[in-house]
This record gives sequence, structure tokens and C-alpha cells, in this order.
Amino acid sequence: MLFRFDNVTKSYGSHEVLREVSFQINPGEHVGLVGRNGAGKTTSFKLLLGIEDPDDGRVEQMRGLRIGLLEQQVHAEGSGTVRESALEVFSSLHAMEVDMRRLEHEMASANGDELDAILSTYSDLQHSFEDAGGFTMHARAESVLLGLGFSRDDLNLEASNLSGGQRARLALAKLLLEGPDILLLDEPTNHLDIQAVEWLEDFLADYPSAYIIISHDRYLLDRTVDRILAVENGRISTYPGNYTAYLVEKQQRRLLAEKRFREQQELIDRTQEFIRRNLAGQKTKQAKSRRNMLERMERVDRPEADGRAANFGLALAARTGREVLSVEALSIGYPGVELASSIEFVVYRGDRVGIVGGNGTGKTTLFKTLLGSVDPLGGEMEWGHNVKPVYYDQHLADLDPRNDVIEEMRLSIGGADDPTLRGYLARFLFTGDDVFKRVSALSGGERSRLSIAKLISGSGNVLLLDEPTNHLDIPSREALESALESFTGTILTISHDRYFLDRICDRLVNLEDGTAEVFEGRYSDWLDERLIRKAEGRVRETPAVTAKPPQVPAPSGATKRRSIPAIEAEIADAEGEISDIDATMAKPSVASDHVKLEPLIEARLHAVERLERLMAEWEAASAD
Amino acid sequence: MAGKKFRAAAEKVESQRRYALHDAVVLAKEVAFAKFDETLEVTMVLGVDPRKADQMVRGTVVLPNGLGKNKRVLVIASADKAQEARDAGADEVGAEDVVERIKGGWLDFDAVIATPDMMRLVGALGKVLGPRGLMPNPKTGTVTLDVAKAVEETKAGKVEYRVDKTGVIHCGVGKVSFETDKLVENAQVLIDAVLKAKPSAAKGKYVKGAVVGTTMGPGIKIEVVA
Repeated sequence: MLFRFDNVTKSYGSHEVLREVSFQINPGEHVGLVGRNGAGKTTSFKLLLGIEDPDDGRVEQMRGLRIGLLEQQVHAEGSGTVRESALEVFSSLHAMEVDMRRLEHEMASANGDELDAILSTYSDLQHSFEDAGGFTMHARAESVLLGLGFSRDDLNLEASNLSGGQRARLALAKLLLEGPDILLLDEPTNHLDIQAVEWLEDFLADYPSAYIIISHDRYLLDRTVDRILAVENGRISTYPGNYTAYLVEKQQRRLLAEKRFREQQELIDRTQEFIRRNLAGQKTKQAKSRRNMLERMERVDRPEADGRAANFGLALAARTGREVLSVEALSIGYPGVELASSIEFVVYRGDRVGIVGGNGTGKTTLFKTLLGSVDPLGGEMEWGHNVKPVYYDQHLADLDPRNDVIEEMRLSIGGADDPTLRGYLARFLFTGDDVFKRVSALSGGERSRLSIAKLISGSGNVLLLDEPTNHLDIPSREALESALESFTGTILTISHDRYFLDRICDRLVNLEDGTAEVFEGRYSDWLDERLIRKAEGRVRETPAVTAKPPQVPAPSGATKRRSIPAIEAEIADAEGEISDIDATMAKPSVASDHVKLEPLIEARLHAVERLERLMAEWEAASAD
Repeated sequence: MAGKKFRAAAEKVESQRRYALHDAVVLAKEVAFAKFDETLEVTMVLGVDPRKADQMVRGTVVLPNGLGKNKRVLVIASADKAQEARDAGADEVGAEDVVERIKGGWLDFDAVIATPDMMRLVGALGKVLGPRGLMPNPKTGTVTLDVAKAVEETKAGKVEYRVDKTGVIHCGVGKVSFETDKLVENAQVLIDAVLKAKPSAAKGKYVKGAVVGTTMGPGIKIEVVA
């Protein structure tokens, strides 16, 4: 047992978040914690970490349990480089190192017994240092960082200048270096780009120790957990299997609960009718006994209707000129660091533009430049007539943690009375006392909802959204998507959410390799196009292959062609090889070790090349 | 899966029997099959908890018949001590200059000895020397004022033994090409040293088991009388 919740109850004011909750987590278990925003998921983590105490019940832990937490909001790391920041986890080793350096200086000037004493202390200290991995900490930190996708140059970047995704990776690297018994991941994918999410999925699927993930990413949960803990109405129920299995099981349980409730209601109705008719008659004794039975009966709760999703009704936006934004030869970045240059695109009224690209390619900087909070390094940009851009920040910096929800809303809609504000907030699922919660006490998802509520209530007609679906639960995401679909203004959005992009955007600006490329079409079309281009690019990049006589018999009448089944067998073999390599690369022990990774990457490239050659051969053979 | 040669060798060893040291060495030499001159290793499983500082078993011992390989010894010392080291046969001697060379990636040595006044320079090399087990330490006699003795002993076949995290000591005691008696003598000296180093805080049985074996060959259990 790693830890156990034993009848835990926790309230904030009159709001009961957890009621008599009991569950247990064992070593090696991979658990997903799901539930609506504000349902008590993060509270469960806080109870486990000892940041909060339960009002009733107990949280028991294995002795010496080491917990690693990856928080929802990864704060900017203080000063120092990525490498220095990662090494911070070894603070006890650093203290030992300082003592060792001091003793080394002291022994230079000591003699006799004093020297012996120093040498003896030094010897023990060096030994403990070595045992605790002091000599290898630099190498370990580096290998974990490289495994998580940082390049060697990145290690010397200032940690405070990292993009959201890079910061999350750094935080994850620090966690892994601590080697905890259990990992707590609170929305780990929020600031990761798609490649990084896929990497994380593979990594977690193979992670030997226990972890609990809070996530609204259905795909992540499906691939990484074997048990779901669902927080609903203050209760936590356990479901075996992944997220899909949970949905099926939950539906079945709900149907069963409804049936039980209905049957009990019928029984109650029948019994009450019997009591009413017979209480004063001959069967009064029976009626009284049935009345007692009714009083003693344990009532089945009515199952809650299936959720309430946020209603993000967007107001009609004031009409802008036809050309909303034009960008010409724009260079963005910070003094000394150019992130992207030669950016050119025009946005017209009603466009829905998705900004995509890896972490740190300058997506957020592009928004900041467009909004004027960062100066362009070169080029021109111009907003069109009557344009009022509004910005939704992925780090939620526009909320004042000291305000409560309704005050924060009042700042946005000046002059509105309380009932109007409350009515408006209710559409964003802030009902009853929720509106008096302090911003600092809101969960990540609730903050996002509030931010979006503020944004929409404003008078902006061009929305610049920076990762709007982060922190939103699944129903809220879907509601946001449909609200944005009915929005009459123009939308520019940065997102890593594959489904969101596909549903909302009809144009894409891809920031990559220091420049921007515009794609007219949906996200999935763009992915297809990229795959095709990549395949073509590889053919061009390797002229040696075409110059030399091909190793595989080419479709040149003179050479004898192989049979299709023979080629197919080889294709299956090549595909098998690739998937084997992928499986090996996904293992944590390999993924975090660049030395092991490099030959695998090489081997995979060769295998992919071989597969492509075979495919070409197969096509030629089957065309005959 | 173990190879054919290994399986053939393992069949000649009675896996349950505890051999006398001499018989075990004879057998190990007999079943050694590798094409190179294998090292004979002694492995001892100790009843200590190495996470506790007071149950650490670590030290050095000079094997009377050497190890069969010439160790390249680097001495970090200055002035008189540097000369002493040279006279005693050190392969490399230096101070700031060698520290810089090591930082630059030079690692052509098998042992490092330093004088206490040089440790303020050597400390910075922990990242490089530590993971390779080359970091000088007073307990192993490699941080010392008597550099001449340290060099001579290292050259003569001084080996370091220490328990790993799981409470096991591994230590080479010579090459298969050595005469049997010399190997037995070396092994016995090591075993005696480990027995003598028993920490007072260790509880229960001190030596839980001991094995000799060659680099590639099967392990052969031996009787150790405490």
C-alpha cells in the first residue's frame, strides 16, 4: 500500500468537496482521476501531500513515501539555466558538496591530529555523497533533460525564458530526477505540444512506479491508466480499466442505479397508498407496520442527470473592416533572440486561424507582438478598421487572485448590477456561493472558465486565444467549441488540441524552423499534406539512392520482378521492425538515455527507408 | 541464455557444494574457457546495511602476489611530495597542470593519489573521477602525505574493496594464468581483510555467502570461516 484515504471528508466553507471517501493506491498502479472542474480532484492531491488536512477521516501513507507532484500551473523558475534548475532537486547533495569543498580547503593548512580528524570526516562525507549519487548527478540530470526533448544548447537557456511546454518538461525532468514512489500529475499535457504529449503517453505507459493523473485528455487516459477514480458529488468511485471502459461501466452503473431508484419509488408509492387506505380500517396493524418499514427504509439517491456543460453564448461582435490584420515580413522575438522571421499572412473578417508549431517556436510571442506588448524585430503589421482584439492568456495572468469571482467579472462588465452579473456567471457554471469564491481558491478549470467569461463579455471582435482548451473538462471543451463556431467575429487561436483545431480552424499558420507557413485548410488536411511532403523530401535528400543501382530490384523490365506476396512479407517484416524499435524507444530506461536512443533513431530511419522502397516496389508490381 | 561453453563449464561445478578455497580456485582455473587471460574474482555477500554509515565495509589491501596488471598511477602533489612520488615510480605527477588536463578529457591512468593540500583542486574533478571510482579518499589511503608508500602499494597490487548498495563485495584477486597457490594466497588475504573490517554495528551473520569465479566462468561457492 502506498497510501489510503479512510472515510475522508473535506469542505471549503459550506461547500462539501469530498464526503466519506475511501480508496487505496498500491505500488505500480496507474490511475486516472477524473471529474468535473472543481469536483475535488486537486483537493485530493492536496490532502495526500499534506497541504490540506481532512475535516474528518484519515489519510494514511506508507512510511517514508516520496511523492512527486507535477502542478497544473508551472511557475516561472527563478534565475538560472535549465541545467541549474534541474540540479536544484539535489539540494542535499549540494549542501554536502559545500561541506566537502570547505574541508578540502581546511586540510591544506592543517597538521597532525587536526588533519587526521578532517580527513576522517571528509572520508565519511565523500562516501555518503558518492552513495547518494553525488558524482553522477550532473550526468543523470543531463540524460533526463535530453530524453525529454531538450537539446544540448537548450540546457544553457534561462529557465525563466522557457515557453509553457518547455517549462512543463523541465518540471517533469526534475520530478523524474527525484525518483518518487508515486507521481502525481495534474493536467500534465496542458502545455505540451503534440509530439511531447505522444512522448509522455509512451513514457507513462512504460513507467514502472505508480502514478495518478488528473487529465481531461481522453486519449492520454486511454493509453496510460488501468484504473479510473471518478469524483462525483463528493464521492470517489473506482472503475477498473481505461477511460473508455470507465464510460461504458459508468453508463451501466447509472442505468442500474436509475432502475433501483425507480423500483424503490414504486414500492414507496404502493406502500403509501396501502397505508392511506388501511390506517383506519381492519388492516390498521399491517398499515402501521408498513409505515414503520417506510421510515426505516434506506432511500436510494436519485442518480444525477448526466452533467451540465458550460454555456458559452457569445454576443454578436461589432463588425470590422474586411481586412482584419495584415502582416508583412514580420520578425518576432526578443532582443538578441529571433524566434521567427519573414512571417506573412492576411486575416480577413470571419477567418478562423490556428497557430501551430512546437514549443518555443514563438506562437505566444507572435500574439504578444500583434498586441503590441512585445516590439517586432522587423517588418510590418497592421490591424484593420474598427478591430478590437482581445487576448486569452494561457498563463491566466489577467486574473487578480485577491478578487472574488463576481468582483473580477464586475471589472469586465462595468456598471452591471449583481443579478445581471450572477446571471451571466451562471452560464459559466458559477452558481450560488461559487461567485464569492476567491480567484486564488479556484481550480485551474474554474479559472479558465472565468477568464473566458470575462473575455466574451468584453467588446472585442477579434479573439486571440492562447491554448483556450487547457484546464477545461471535456463537456466544457465541447461547449467552447460550439460557442466559438457561432461567434461572428474573427478568431486566431494557438492550440495543441488536435480535436479543437480540426473543429474550429479553416486556416493554419505553422511556425517552424524560424519562419511561418500558411496552410489553407483543416488541421487533419495539413497533417496529411505534411506526411506527403516529408516522404517527397526524403527522396530528394538522398540522391545517392537514386544514383546507385537500387538494392531492391527496380521495376526496370530487365531485372526479374519479385512476386507480390514476397514483397508483402518483407513489408510486414519492415513494419514489425519499426514497431519493435518504437516499443524499445518508449521504455523509460531508454527514453531518458540519449546514448541508448541515438542508435535506435538511426535504425528506425533505415527501417522506414526500407519500408518506403518496398512500398514503391509493391506499387510497381501491383500496377502490372 | 548462457552460451554452450558456459553451460559445459557450469556442469562441472556442484552448485550446492561449498568448496574449500584451494579446491575452488583449482576448479575455477580448470573450467575457465575464455580466449583471454580472465580475472579471478572473489564475491562476498555480507550481512550489513550499507545505507547506514556505521555499517560500511570499505578498505584496501595489498595483495601479496599483485594483480597481474601494471596500474598507471597519477599523483597530484607539489614540490617535495611530487619528487617523492616520481622517485617511488608514479607514472604521472603534477598539480594544477594535470587538473586542467583531466578537465580537458585526459583519463589515461588507473589510480589517483593526492596530498591533502591538493584536495581543493581535486575536489572540482568529482564529476569526472567520481563515477569512475578514481576519486582520492583518505580511507583508501589515496589522500595522504606519504605519497611514496601509496604509490608503491598501488603498484604492488593494492586493491580497494567496498560493499555495494546491496551489501555485496566484488574484488579481483589475480589472473587465471597465475599459479594456483598465488591466487589462493591473494584470495585469502582479501577474505581476511574483509573479515577484519567487520563493523561493530553489523548484526547477525556477517558473511552470508562467498563465491569465486573467473570473468566469464560460473560461480563456485566457497567455505568462509569467520
